[in-house]
Amino acid sequence: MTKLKRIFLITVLVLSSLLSTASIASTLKVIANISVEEEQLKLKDLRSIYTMKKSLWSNGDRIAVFVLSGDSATHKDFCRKLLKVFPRQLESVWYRLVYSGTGEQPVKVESEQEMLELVAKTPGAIGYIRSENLHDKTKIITIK
Amino acid sequence: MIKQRLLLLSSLLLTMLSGVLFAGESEQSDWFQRNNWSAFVSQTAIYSSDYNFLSQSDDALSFDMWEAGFLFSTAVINKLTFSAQVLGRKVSESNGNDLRVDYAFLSYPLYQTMNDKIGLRLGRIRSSYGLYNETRDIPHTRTTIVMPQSIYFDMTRNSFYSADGVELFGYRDFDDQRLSAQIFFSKPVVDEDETGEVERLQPKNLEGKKSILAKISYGSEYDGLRTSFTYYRPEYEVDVMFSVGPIPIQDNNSSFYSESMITSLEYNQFDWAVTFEYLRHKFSQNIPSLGNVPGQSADNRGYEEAFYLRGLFRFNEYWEAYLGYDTTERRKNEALLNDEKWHDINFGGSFRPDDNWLLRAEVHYVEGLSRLLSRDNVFSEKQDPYWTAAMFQVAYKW
Repeated sequence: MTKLKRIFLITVLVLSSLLSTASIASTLKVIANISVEEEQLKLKDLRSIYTMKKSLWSNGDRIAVFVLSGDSATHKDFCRKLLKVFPRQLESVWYRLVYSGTGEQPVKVESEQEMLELVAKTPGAIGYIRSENLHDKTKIITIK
Repeated sequence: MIKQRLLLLSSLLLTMLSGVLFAGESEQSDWFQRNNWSAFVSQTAIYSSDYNFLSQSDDALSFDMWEAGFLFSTAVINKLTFSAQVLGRKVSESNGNDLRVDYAFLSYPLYQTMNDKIGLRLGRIRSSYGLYNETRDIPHTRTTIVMPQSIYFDMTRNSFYSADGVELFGYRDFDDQRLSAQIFFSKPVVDEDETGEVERLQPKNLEGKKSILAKISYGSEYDGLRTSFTYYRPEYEVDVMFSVGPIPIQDNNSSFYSESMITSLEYNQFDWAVTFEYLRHKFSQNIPSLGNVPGQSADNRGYEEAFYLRGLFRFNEYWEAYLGYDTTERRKNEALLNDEKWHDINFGGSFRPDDNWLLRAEVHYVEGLSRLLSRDNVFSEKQDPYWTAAMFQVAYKW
């Protein structure tokens, strides 16, 4: 393979990987209850919330964490593309908290519609959803 | 034993009462909010070429090993929470009492902000030594079927696992890295079945005296490095009856302690992880009557060093494979006997088809006998110290 061909191949691979990440980021949205004051979160904060380490918002309100079932494609994308972790790894972290009696696991919901409804009516709630399912009863949290 | 039964009964009663009476309460009530329960069950089949390894598996396929747990947690009122777990587990034919309250404790945060917390736990609490002791019995939270026996030994698992006392804990988060510390003062909970592990002393009336555990850790559980250092020293009182040559020894004022220092390192990436834990273990017994026997001393101490190194590869969200080396040796100047060493090369794989099911297969190639249960095996120096074990586990969680 010539040097030029290699450079072309690497460029194509890098661009396609960047485009696919950007595409996931644009379709998946992190949503929260209207009562949540935060407008944006660092990715590290989002990871801390979803590993159930961070349990309070900055105003002292309790964070209520919602997740879709482990078999849902949206949940898999949320874990792998956004949090950069396998869904099973995340579950192991929850189980370690739960089975040591030192923490709780997130509330599991069956559908994105249920996720929207519960996040909308639960103070301090956070969840995620594909952008086409959004509605105005929740707010979108920007991930930095 | 009576106290243990009372604790078991009261915990079960509280668990059932809170679940039944308050599950239907309106959300306005402050009492018994966020009621959660979980349960799991597992069955393991083990075959070993020689010796009984956590089952009656000597040259036979054994289905003896099983585990089952039921956990309940609730926010009793405001920030006061309660958690309890009842565990059933069988790894030995001589286990008469398979069901026990693993833990049952109240927890209260004395100070809490978005990034830090200081709190207090009171009751029967798990001894959180190393990275994995707190959740060692739940198949879904561990990597392997059998925990590395060098550090998480099953011979005296119950007597070292949880204790009645008070724990002060705290942490501070730095982004997704957590610095945490805890100190736990307690009275060890003893399992009489496990006194068989020191058969030579024929111990009777083993009782936990006091225990201290201190631990500091830093890092992230799933991304990058996490480290911890644990100091753990439980002390026990025991009555012994044995012989030194023709001289019978009976002493009701004997005691012993175990002192462990565990250094733990784990590095996690998206699709792989490496774990290393090192234990320096000192054990000391005091039998005053032995001081009167020529050539004997009332105080006897022993040391052992142990470590394991394990690599894990995640092929995808369903499949994992792992390879480990697990070793422990007594520290002494003479040659080691077979029951003073343990070198275990092991490998295996896991398959998790969904959130609930877990299937795992594992093979061990072992030199040494020091982590086999004395109460299930008869040892002699003529026996072959090299042996293998293969096992398969099915687990389900709710």
